[in-house]
Amino acid sequence: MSAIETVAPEDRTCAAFDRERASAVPGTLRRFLVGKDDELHKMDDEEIARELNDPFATLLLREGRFPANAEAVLAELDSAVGADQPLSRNTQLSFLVAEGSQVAKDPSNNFERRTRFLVTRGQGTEGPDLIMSVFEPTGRLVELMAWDSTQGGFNYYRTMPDAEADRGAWVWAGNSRHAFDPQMRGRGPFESHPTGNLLMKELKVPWVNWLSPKAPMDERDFAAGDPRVTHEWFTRSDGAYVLEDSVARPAIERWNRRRLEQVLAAGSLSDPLPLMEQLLGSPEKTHRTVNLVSSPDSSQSAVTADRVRLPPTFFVDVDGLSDVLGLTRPKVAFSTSGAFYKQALDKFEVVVRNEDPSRPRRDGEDLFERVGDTHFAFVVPERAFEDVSFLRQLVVPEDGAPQIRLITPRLAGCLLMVDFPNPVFSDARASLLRHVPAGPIPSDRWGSFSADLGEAIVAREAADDGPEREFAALWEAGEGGWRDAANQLLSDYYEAVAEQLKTAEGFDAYFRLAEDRRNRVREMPIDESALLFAQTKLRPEALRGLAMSRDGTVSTRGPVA
Amino acid sequence: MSIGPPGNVDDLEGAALDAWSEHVSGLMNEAITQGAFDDGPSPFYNPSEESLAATPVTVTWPALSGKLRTLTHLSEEDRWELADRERLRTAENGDGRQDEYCEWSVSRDSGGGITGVTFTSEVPDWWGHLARRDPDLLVRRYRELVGVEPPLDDLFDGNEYNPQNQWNDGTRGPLVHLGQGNNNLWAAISLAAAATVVREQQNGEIVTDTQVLMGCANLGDKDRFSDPSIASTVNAAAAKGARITLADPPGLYLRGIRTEGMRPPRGHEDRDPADFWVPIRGDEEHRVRARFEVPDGAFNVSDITLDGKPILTGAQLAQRVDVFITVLVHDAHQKATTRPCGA
Repeated sequence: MSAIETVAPEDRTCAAFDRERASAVPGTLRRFLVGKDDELHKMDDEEIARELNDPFATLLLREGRFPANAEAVLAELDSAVGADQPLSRNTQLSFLVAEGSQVAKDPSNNFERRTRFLVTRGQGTEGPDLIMSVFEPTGRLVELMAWDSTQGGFNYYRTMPDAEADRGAWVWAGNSRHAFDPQMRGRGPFESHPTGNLLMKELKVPWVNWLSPKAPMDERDFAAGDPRVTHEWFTRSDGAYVLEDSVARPAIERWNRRRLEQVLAAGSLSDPLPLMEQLLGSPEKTHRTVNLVSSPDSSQSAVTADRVRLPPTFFVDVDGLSDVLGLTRPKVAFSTSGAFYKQALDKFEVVVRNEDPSRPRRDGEDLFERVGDTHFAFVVPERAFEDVSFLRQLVVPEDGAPQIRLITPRLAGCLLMVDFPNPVFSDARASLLRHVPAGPIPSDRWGSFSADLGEAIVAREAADDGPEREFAALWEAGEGGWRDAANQLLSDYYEAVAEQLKTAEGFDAYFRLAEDRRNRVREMPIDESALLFAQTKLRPEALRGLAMSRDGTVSTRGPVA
Repeated sequence: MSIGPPGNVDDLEGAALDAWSEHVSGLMNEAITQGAFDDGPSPFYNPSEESLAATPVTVTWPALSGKLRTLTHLSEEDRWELADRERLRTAENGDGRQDEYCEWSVSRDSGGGITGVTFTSEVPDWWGHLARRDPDLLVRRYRELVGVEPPLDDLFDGNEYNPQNQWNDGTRGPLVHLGQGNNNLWAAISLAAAATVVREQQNGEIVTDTQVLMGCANLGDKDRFSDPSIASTVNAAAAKGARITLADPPGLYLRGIRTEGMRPPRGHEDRDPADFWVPIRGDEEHRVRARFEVPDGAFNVSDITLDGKPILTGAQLAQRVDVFITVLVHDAHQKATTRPCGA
């Protein structure tokens, strides 16, 4: 396998942009590829023509138009395109997200709700071509992604804010493909977009934190006097279900598909490791990807309800194992008693608070504290959609999609079934990366890749309970037998989980495991707010190493040999 | 002010149209009476009796059932199939799965390929009115929409129009209007009216959690998309002392279909699926019926993929169809009607 490099924090974080802010000049475009460039770099005409062929560049930046804020971006676009053209105003969608929404519903609470907009332009069958994320419509910090149909992938841009200038200082921070460049992995925009994909953390119903039919927002979700209450991006906003269906999923499918087309066109897979990390997970924190999902029940309603429904992907990777690979699903929706849930909240002193040990409040910001869980109950990480989509495109590509036939269903199934009760952050599953051959893999070896990797893992079968042994047990059941064997394991496990959920002790153990998984997310760049999760009295170090077992119990597990 | 017919359809005129206005006005007054609001102007008002300056607020949700999406033990394909099959009633005779004020039926060719999917958000209340005022026109409209002129008796249960009659009961072939038991104008009016009451917990805190609010006041099903969004929007405005009603013409409307992720079959990549959405009834701002089909029949709907999967059910399209209702908010700055949770 390829070596996993260690990156110095100061070089990989978006803070690198802040360091360069002083040297940014309004009315210019500069390149800053964190990991490659030490400073802002002037691009020559040849490089611009080669690299920047997305509509934001061709319509505005390459024409010398450098809007100073997000509203100005849209105004400049309106002046550049006609009413019926692809990026016109009538293709605009806007969405709202705020970790501090729902929990307060009181404008007199003076705390940072992290309210921000996502605004898109362009509505084709592959989703929008321009996606912009901003806190304030007139704010000077704008982050923007635009699809480059020439190179493929999204180009990542941002401004270097300057409160005085009437023109923006824009920086091109890379293209989706740079997410896999060894010098740039986990750096700059690819800190939060490790595979170069759009990030909508809370992708599935009930779309925790997003404005949606499940959790409408109104002016009580804003602090008193917040001008965004009357802005059309809020008053005419679309629900998160539109963002999921019409923006996030198509955008992710688009880049995944283009990645595979590029591999097919190159006739060689330059490095199989990033691809296999998307199947197996990664020990490298900056390479990890998850989505967040929750119960459909609000926490306040759940504490008095007979049953609280729990997200199935907390227990098993239903999306990958069942939806993509066709293995058996849980026969019932997992749930527990509302009383058990309430007891756990009390016992573990669960509270939503706008500060934590590593994130103090801003100057002038009030303390916000609400006893209990986040608005929707039991928020936990699950396998990221970008990885599920990639798995589907790799293993069961649709007609007309790139067919590289690298990963067979048997290999994918046997790999994902390793430590299957822990669908995210499985050290056991990630340890199998040690068997992945170093690249490149030319196309004449794609057809044998799965068999070769499977046999390589079996040949290294080690400790009695090691991941290789677990893999081999299914792999050796053969092409005709691995599914039945996997389905039996899953069915037994589902029954065991359902039994555990009938007891307060069983649910307590799951609550602790969920908190450990949240702690893992807290170590990731996508955790940007103390309000993302509720806080508990459980000390992280006391939970570290907790893992689910096939018998539905939770116990502490040592490091993988 | 006279209240218009859903979608401003031109089925009736003159006295028959006036009678519809009176009918809906009656529903609104009944909702106000049921609300037993405090003395003074009620937070829900009847626009045919009071003309107030108000701001329209549109509430939008997807047509595929939110309730169905909570059945996580079923695969997406199984949920879609269930939604198509159990339109009006479940196998256990419970409420049908098409419960977001939008219903659809699928037309297939002899090989099972989908040739079109018809969507409706047209309330049965209008068709009941049509049946009372002009039975001959009722039959003609059925013939236009289902292709067969049904015997008048088939459409009635005794003297009353039967919304779930055999010509509007199927899931294959055309349908006429909404038929699921909860999909009607009274349900929308009564929900909006009841949601104008602000609720407070035992400790005096105002209820702002949408799901708790719905439980407090019996405001429909918290797992749907439509009920929580209507209830929450209305309740938030009422909490500010606003007076609220439904915009004219009161009804539920189809905003359109979102086609991102749709791919026509090989050889037809240049076709834009947005062109396959054909409005049928209702004015431009208030569509109540539309059909998704390939107009020239060059290929079937089921030859199109959506998110990488062939469109084998109407439900896959329903997930991309948006439904809306518009409420009017008049800033009255009055004291909100507040009651304890459950009262």
